[in-house]
Amino acid sequence: MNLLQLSLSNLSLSPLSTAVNILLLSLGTGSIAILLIATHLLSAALIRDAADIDLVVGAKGSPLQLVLSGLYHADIPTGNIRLSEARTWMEHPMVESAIPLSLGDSHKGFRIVGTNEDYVDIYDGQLAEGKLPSNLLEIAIGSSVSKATGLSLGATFAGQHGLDGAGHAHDEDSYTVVGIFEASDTVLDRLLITTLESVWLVHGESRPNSETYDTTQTNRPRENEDVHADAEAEASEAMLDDHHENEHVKHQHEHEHEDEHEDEHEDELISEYDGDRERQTTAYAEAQAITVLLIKYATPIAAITLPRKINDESALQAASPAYEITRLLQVIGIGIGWLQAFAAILVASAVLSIFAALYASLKARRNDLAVLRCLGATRSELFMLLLFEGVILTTAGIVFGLIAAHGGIELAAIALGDAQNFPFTGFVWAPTEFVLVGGLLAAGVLSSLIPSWQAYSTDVPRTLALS
Amino acid sequence: MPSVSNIALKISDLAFGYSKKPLLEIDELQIQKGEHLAVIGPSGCGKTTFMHLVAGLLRPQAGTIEIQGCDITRLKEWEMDRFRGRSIGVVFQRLHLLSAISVLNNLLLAQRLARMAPDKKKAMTLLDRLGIAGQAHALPAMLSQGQAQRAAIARAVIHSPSLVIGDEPTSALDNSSAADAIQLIKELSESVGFALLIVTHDERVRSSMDRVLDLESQT
Repeated sequence: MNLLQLSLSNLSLSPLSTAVNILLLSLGTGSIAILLIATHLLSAALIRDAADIDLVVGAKGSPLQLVLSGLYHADIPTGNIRLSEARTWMEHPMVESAIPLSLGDSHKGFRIVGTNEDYVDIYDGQLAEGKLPSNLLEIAIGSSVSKATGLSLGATFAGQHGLDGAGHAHDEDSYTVVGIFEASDTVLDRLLITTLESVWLVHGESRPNSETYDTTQTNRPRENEDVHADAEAEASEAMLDDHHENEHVKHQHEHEHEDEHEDEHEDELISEYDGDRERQTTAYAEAQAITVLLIKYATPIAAITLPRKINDESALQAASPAYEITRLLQVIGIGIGWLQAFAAILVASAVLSIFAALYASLKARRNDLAVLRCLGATRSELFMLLLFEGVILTTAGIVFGLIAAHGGIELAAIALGDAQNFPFTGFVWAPTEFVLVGGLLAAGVLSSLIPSWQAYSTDVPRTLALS
Repeated sequence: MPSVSNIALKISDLAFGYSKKPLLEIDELQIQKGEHLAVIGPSGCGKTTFMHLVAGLLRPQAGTIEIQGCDITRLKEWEMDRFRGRSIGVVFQRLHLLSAISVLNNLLLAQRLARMAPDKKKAMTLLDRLGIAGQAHALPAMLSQGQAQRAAIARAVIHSPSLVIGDEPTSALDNSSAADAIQLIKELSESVGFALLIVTHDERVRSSMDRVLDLESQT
């Protein structure tokens, strides 16, 4: 039996009061901890999913919506833009890299993204199985998608128009799963990645030769490509005709190939055919729509000039994720601030309650304190006895509050599954929780100081005389 | 003339008062080890004050109080607290067992505050000797008055002090229990070897002590 055990025994003498004090403090601690953890998880997810993208370019509208839809896939896109229009900025000297995304469809609530391999690279996406999509209607799915939908390699499904799963299904064009990504704890886990051409195919009426179309050729930013916007619409309209002509040329080529005596002519035809195919494919792509362009700057100065240039000189909108997310967090922060203030009131009430309980307990135990002095306890030991009680109550409140907060978040995460835009877990420790724990312990100690001092100052002869 | 090593308590030229007029003055008092002294006097003559002075809870205005050769008036407060824990046992008028912990833990805590290693076996042996081993794990509130008094006596002697002070230890007991309690303390005093100083109004107690100090005659 030592003083700490005596403190515990003293607290156990009034279990109801002790339990209420711990509960009060747990509620306050848990409430604040939930807010801190949620803020931490949200901030971490926002930073992680931003993947160092400097600028999101898309259709005019809300810049925040553009960032949320284009980068975090957490909102409806602002609209589509022509790839040819985006091309100007993809090839701008201030742009190091630009990744086009074509959005609009989903499967069971998970978004289908038409893009290229660069998009997978910015999230360090690794394939657990299969390969990246390279042909039309091939698709690779994120780990959360695989878990939630049960899709496996070789599975086929039709995307649904819209992002809420309520749109009509594109039954005529089914995707085939050719790859499954490893979990990356990024937005990639919740996406289905296909080629831009596949998205165009699903949504458009014209299409290139699906057997020979090399999707890796057109959707990357290219240098030295001379494609004029004026020709793009015409190219798109003429696509089918060109396609038929192409087929004709191909057949002609095949026919002549059989004639061993006309080799030279055959080579010319093949060369002509390949040139036509490349030009048509390029023209076709340029005429198609994308939803957003994810840009990384080549130079820091671009942060100042490029967004303004795009906004002023084109029909497009450029939004900086860093700026928009900061703004978003500020807006969220106001709400969180109010909630934290409410939780702080809970904590303050709990701390006051601890003070009241200790003080009342002190009054009732003055004789015990005097007896302890008679038994050989020093004033300091009496001080520590009361301080221990305050610290025990505070620590118990903190521990139960943190367990409730982390456990509650984990249970919520399990209940909501993988379908959330920002997946979360209770098995995470927000650095600000250290501040919370430190602050609460300090508050607990402060609330115990007055009763502890009173214990320290116990007048033994007077107390014994009055007993 | 007793040898110095046999003196459990020695008081010389003691004076104490809450005002300029001394409430208590004792020129000379010695108690041998194993000796039993009753302190008597009318209410207000300073019996409890005398007990507090001997226990080091009050500081005299003058004089010395030596316990086992140590002048406790020269000790700092924390040194006195520790000395008290080691060398003095106290039995209160209203028992004052700590209510939050069991009888056994009351004894173990007394050992701890005497800066001794808690000896559960010794505590149980003592409780057994006092006939309350069966109540070792009970909270004080569950004991009868007589059992509680025995437990309080056990706590006062568990650390083998050189002096045990009793402040009206039998006042709350009936005749039979009071006689038992006094007999018990005396037996323990003989076996453990501590001097016994009991402040009392009780004639039965007074008559069973070796000596009597009448404070009224001292002032």
